[in-house]
Amino acid sequence: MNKQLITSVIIFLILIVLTIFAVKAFAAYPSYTSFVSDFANVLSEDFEKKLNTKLSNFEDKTSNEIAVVTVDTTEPETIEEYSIHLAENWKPGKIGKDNGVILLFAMNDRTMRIEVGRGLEGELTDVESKHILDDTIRPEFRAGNIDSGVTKGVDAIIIAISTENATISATSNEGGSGGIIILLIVAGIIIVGGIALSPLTPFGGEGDDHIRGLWVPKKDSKWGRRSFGTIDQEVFVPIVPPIIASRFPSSSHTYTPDDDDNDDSSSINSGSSNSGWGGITFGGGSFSGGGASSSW
Amino acid sequence: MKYFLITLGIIVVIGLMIFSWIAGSYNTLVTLRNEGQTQQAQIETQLQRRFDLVPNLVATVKGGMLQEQVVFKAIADARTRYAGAKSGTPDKLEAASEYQSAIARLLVIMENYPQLRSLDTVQDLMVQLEGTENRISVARQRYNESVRDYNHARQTFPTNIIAGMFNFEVLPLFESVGGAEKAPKVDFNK
Repeated sequence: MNKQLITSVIIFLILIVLTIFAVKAFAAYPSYTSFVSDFANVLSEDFEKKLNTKLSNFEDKTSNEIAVVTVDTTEPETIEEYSIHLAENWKPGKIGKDNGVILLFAMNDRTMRIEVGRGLEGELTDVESKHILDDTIRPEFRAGNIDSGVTKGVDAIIIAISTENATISATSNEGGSGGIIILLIVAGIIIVGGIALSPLTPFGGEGDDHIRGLWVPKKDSKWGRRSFGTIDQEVFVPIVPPIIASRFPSSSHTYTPDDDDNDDSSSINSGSSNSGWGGITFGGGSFSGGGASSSW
Repeated sequence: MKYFLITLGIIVVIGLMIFSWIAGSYNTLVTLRNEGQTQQAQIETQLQRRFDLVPNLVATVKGGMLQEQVVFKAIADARTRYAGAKSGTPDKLEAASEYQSAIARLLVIMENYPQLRSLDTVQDLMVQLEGTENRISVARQRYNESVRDYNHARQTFPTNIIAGMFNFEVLPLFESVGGAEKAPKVDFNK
């Protein structure tokens, strides 16, 4: 009995030690602070804020999530290993769309990489990524213009991945379908409630002896013969459809101007409306190692 | 009679527990094996991409590298061997590694032909190859992780009893060849 107790205590301790090691292995990858995570502290405060707003607006419009990351070094890993592990930890991009991109700079190693999420590998190919790194960012970095190198790189990435869904805004889609769902629920309540309370028989039930049709007075209802008399014909009273029909255009109306607003007042409201500064969560995109690496 | 019922009840309960344990372990093993096979399919997708790219690269550079026929032959041989190996076997993975080291040799040799390397088509092909190699190494790492989980469950007590009963085979790890895991490096401005 005593031996067993000792054994289980030992196993327990081993498990604890293993857990500590597991935590240690992950601690090498910092958590993101926002769309821009300047761990190497090489970007100016103002610039970081502006870039963050730009990326947050871009996410609003296209749902694509771009993470800009600077670190001192990726040692002991290569930049490819570090960046895929970062991607696996952070998961920028939406679930199912896998539309995340990481632009990673290791300042002391003078290496950089664009890590492309699965869903964007078609728009931002390895060759394009390589050109962005070598032809757009590198000359600026060599000249010591970190901020402008990062801006130009981000702009090039945005252009590359805007082609597909720039016009169809994901957020407005969500708003639209959400509105439709609510409408359908309301319509459902009206229909079911209407049927239950109505003195009419729904869907061609048995009404007055002489009347059969979609919406006819129920037998014995006070509407009975009086309202429709003794007309021997099909009667259709379209109660619900007009209500639904009148609701639909108004719903599509509500989100259109909202979408336009985003463009105009983005510089004013994006900081607060997104709670973008520091409060973002990446969605859960998956990566399979697409992209390119370079150095400067 | 009363004792008989109690005994029967206990036997039924124990029987149910054993059954649910067997079912649970069996399902865990199946899940882990499926995961491994999914990851293996990922690797093979990327390997296929490599097989589609390399002939283009070879065709582009072959004319300028007439005295390097050995490496082209090695690439062709490894390709044939890979195509002949059965999917999911250690043989297939070995053939893939062999192919990789043949490509790595080609890329090293190409360093001696700067005029070839500077061709736009060659550069683009090499960037694509570089990306593919990186994808293969990511897929390989994920495959090895899931295979390790599966093999571990398969070999440790008490799941190993179930694994033995239902004939769950060991899945091979996909190790990279020494020196070949480094992806080729390309630089557009050189």
